[in-house]
Amino acid sequence: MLKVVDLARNRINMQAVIKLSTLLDREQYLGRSLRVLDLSQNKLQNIGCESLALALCHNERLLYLDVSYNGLADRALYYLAEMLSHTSSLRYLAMIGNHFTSKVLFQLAKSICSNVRSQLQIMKMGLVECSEIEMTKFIQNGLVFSSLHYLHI
Amino acid sequence: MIDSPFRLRQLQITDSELVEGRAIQEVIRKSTQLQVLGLAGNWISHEFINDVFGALANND
Repeated sequence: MLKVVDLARNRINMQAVIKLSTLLDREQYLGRSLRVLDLSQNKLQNIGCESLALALCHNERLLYLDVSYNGLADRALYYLAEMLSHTSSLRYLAMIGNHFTSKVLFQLAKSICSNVRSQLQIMKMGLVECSEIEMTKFIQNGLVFSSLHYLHI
Repeated sequence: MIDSPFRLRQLQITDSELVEGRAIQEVIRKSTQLQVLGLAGNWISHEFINDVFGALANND
């Protein structure tokens, strides 16, 4: 059973990740076996990330996901937040080196709070722009009941 | 063509300008105990995903 797939620093684009997403469905082979997926430094773009995040919403196996440096913007972060409101297995999520701002932080906080089964322990965001007010709201609303041990804003 | 199954648990092909999946598709298909696939730093794109991971799905 394949547990670790490292595809960092390749040419995984939107089309490729959409195909990969179909294989990550919980009924599929990869969806049932994979624990670690590194897709950092590729070209997922927002639509590719949306497809991946939606596929992982109901995945109960994946522990580690890295989508850092993929040309993602706030729209992708919205879908990653949606994923975090559903998944209960993920422990590590890295998404640094994208173009995220604090505009979606409220949605992220809401997602983290709403998922009582979440086991997320490490989250690395690397926002390119963050207002102090939105960051304070995020910390107050998102972290109170969360399982996070390490947060890189 | 490889006829008997491998006992390979980990396959790492990194920084090797790997483009096509067909070359390793058969190895992966025959490696029934494979747990770690490390392919960082190649030129992998859509066709590779189809060839390699599609084959894994068909093995299921």
